[in-house]
Amino acid sequence: MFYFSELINKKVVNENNKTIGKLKDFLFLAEESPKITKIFIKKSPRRSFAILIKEIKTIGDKIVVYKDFVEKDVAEREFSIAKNLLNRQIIDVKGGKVVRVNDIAIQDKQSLPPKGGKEEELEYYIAGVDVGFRAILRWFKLEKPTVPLYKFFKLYSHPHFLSWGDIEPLELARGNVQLKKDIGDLERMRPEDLADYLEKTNIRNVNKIITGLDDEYAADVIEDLNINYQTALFKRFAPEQATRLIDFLEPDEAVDILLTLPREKRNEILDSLDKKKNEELRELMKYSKTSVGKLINPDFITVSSEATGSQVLSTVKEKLPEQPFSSYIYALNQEDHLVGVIELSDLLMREGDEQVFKFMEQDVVVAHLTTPQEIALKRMLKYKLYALPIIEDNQKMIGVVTFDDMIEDVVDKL
Amino acid sequence: MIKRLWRQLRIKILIIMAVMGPGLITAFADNDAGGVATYSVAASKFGYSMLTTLIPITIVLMITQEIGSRLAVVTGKGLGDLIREKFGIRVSVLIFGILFFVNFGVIIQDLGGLKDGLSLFHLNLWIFMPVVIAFLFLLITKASYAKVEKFFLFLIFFYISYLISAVLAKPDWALVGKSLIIPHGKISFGYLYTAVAVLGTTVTAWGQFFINSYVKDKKLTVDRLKYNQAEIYFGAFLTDIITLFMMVAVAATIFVHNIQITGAADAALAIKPFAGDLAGVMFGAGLIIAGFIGAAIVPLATAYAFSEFFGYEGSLDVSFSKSRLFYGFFIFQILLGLVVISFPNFSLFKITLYADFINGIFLPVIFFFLYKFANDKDLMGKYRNSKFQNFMLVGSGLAITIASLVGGIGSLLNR
Repeated sequence: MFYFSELINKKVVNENNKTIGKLKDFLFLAEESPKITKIFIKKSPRRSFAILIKEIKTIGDKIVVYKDFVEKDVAEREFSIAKNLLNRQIIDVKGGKVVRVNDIAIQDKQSLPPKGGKEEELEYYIAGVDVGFRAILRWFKLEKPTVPLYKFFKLYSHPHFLSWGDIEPLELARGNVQLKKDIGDLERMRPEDLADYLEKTNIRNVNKIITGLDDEYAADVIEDLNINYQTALFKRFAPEQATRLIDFLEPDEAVDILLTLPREKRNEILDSLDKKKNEELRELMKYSKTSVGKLINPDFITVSSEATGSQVLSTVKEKLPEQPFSSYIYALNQEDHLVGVIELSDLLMREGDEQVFKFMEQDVVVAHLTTPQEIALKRMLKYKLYALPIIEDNQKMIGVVTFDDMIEDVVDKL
Repeated sequence: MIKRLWRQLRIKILIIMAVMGPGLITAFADNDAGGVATYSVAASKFGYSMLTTLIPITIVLMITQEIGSRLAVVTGKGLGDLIREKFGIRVSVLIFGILFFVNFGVIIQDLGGLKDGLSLFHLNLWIFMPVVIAFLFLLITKASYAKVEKFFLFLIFFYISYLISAVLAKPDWALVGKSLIIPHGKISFGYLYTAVAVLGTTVTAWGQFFINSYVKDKKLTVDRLKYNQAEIYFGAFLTDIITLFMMVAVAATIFVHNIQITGAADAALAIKPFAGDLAGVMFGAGLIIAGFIGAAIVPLATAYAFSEFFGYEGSLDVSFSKSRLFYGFFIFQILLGLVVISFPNFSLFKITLYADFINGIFLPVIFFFLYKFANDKDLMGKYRNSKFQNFMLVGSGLAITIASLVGGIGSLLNR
C-alpha cells in the first residue's frame, strides 16, 4: 500500500534511468471499486501529460515506467485524486460527520493474467482516505519521527482511515459525472444528520445531492435544512421536482417554504399539485398569519361519534400509514362539529361493539387560530397533551398543532 | 396600493434584519481595544490631520470585506476551506501558523485593553477579569449562533460612548470636515508610518478570515447577496464614523494641548481635564466594550480558521461536546493571552505597534488569496470580481505592502 503524499513529486524515469518528469496526480474511475487508470506526469512547468497506469514497471525510490509509453488524454469518467478528492470535504457516513481528506491510500493488487498474455499485471485501487492528524504530519515527513512522542504520551495514534465504501464526497461531480455512482449510501444516515452536513457546502452541491436521493428521503432531509437553503433549493428545482417534493413534505413545512418563494413560483408549484393538496396548502397559507396557525397540521384522524370501537380501529389502521403518527382520534357529530377525543391507548382497551360517544372524552381541550402560542403551549402542558385540535368559530376542526412542532418553534426563538 | 407597498417594505425590512450581523460585527470588531489604542495615539500625535486617512480606509475596508463575504455566500466555504482545497496541506499549515501568531498579538492587545479599561474604573482585576472571561467562555460555548450575534449587535450600541466624548470635547467641527478631505500641516515620515498602523488596525487579516467563516456559519444563500453586501458597506461606514469620533475626541483635547500618551487608557485619563469627567468615563467605557468584543471575535476567527483548514467541526451552532477542538482552541488562546499580559513588565504599547505592523505585512498575502478565489470562474461563476474590484484590491494590496515596508524600515532607522 502507498500513500499519495509519499508518491507525489517522485521522479519518474524510464527503464534506462532517463528522467521523464515528476509524478503529479492519479486518475481513477468513478466506480464501486475505484480503479486507478492513469498517472499524470509533469515534465516541465509548461508541459504535463497522462500515461496509462500499466506503463508503470516498479514503484520504489523512483517510479520506473516502460520505455515506449504513449501519452493519453483524460477520459470522461475519470477523476483526479489531487483535484477531486485530496483536501476536499467528505461525509464520513459511518462516523456521521464531515471531515477533510488529508491523504489517500493506494492499494496494488495482482490481477489474473489477461487471456493470451504472459505476465501478470499489477492493478491499483483507491483503498480509502486518511482523515487523521498523522496524515498531516506525513506531508511534512514527520509521521515516523513523532511516533515515539505519541507512545511516550500514550496518545491515540492510529491513522484515521475511512474505506471508500464509507465515504461520500460533499462535492460530487465534475460536469455531469458523479464521483460516486450510487449516493444511496447517504440514505443510511438519519435525514436530520445529513441536513446538518449539507449545510456545510454550497447550494449547488446540495441541489445535486438532493436530486440524487429518493424523493421521500430527500423530503425528510429538506425539512431539516435551514430556511435559507430550503428557499434557495425550491427556487432552483424544476417545476415537476418541486411538486413531487412538496407532496412528500409535512404540510406545515411545505407552507413555510412556499411562503418564502416569489409569488409566481409559489403559484406555479401549487397549481401543479393535485386538487386536494393544492386546496389544503392554500388553506393553510391563510392561517399562517397567526402564531398558532403557522404550525397547523391538517392531517388528523376523525370518526363519527356513533361509530363502534372496532370501526374506529379499522379506520385508524387504514389511515395511520398515510400520515404522521398521532395518538389521538377526534370524534365528530353529524354537523362535523368536534365533540370528543379518544386516546389510541384507550381505544385498545374497549370492547369492539362499544360506541364512541360512550367512552370518548367529551370535554375536549382546544385552541383557536387566534389563541396566542404561549397559551396554547401552557394548555398542552397543563393537560399533558401531545396535540391540540384547532377549531374555527363554527366548531369545525381545521387541524392539529403538535407538541414537538410547538417546542421546535419556541426553541428556534431562543 | 399603500397597503401593498407597506407589505413589500415590511418583507424587505425582515430580510434586512435577517442578514444583519456579519458586516456590522466584523467591522466594529476592527475598532477593538488595539484599534482604540492606535487611533488614540495617532490622533494625539497628528491631531485632525490624521482624519484624512479615514475615507480611503473605509473604502478599502468595504471592498475587501465585501469580497470575503461574497466568496462565502457563493461558495459556502470559508477562506481556510478555499486555501486548503486550492493550495494543499503544506500551504495551509504555513498560513494557519502565521495567522495564529498574528491573531495572538491582537488578542493580547484586546485582553490588555480590557484590563486597562477595568483598572480605569478602579475595579479589582483579580475579581473582574475572571468574571468577564468566564462570561465570555459561557457565551461562546453555550449560546447559539443567533444569540451570540444578537448579543454582539447589542454591545455595538455602546460604541455611542465615543460620540458622547467627542461632543463633550468641543472640537472645531469645521476643521474636522475640512481635514476629512485634505490634511492640514505637512506630511512627514512619521505621519505615513502612523497612517499604515491605522490602516493595519482597521483592515485586518483576522477580519478577512472572520467575515468569511462568520457569513458561512450564518448559512446565507446567493439570493440574499445584495442585502448582505449592503450590510457590509453599512457596517464599514458606521464603524469608521465611530473611529472618526474617537480621533476627534483625542485631537480636540490631547493633541491641542500637546500631551504625550501611549495608549487608550492614557487617553481616557488625559481627556478629563479638558472635556470633563464624563468624556473620560465614556472613553474608558468604550475601551472595555472594545476589549471585550475583540477578545471574543479574534480568537473565534482563529478557531474558525483552524476548523476550516483541518476539517474539524466548527460552528457556533454545534454543541461543545461535538466540537471540542473548535471551542477548545478558542479558550486556549484566551488563557494563553491572559498568561502573557500578567507578566509584570508587559508593555501593551510595544505589542500594539508590533501587532499592527505584522498584520500590515500579512495582509497583502491574504489579498492575494482573495484575488485568486474571487476571480476563479469555477468557484464564483457570474459572481466573479469586477474590474473595478480587482483594481481596488490589487491597488490597496500594493499600497499596504509599500507603506508597511517603508514604515517598518523607517521606524528602525529612526531608532
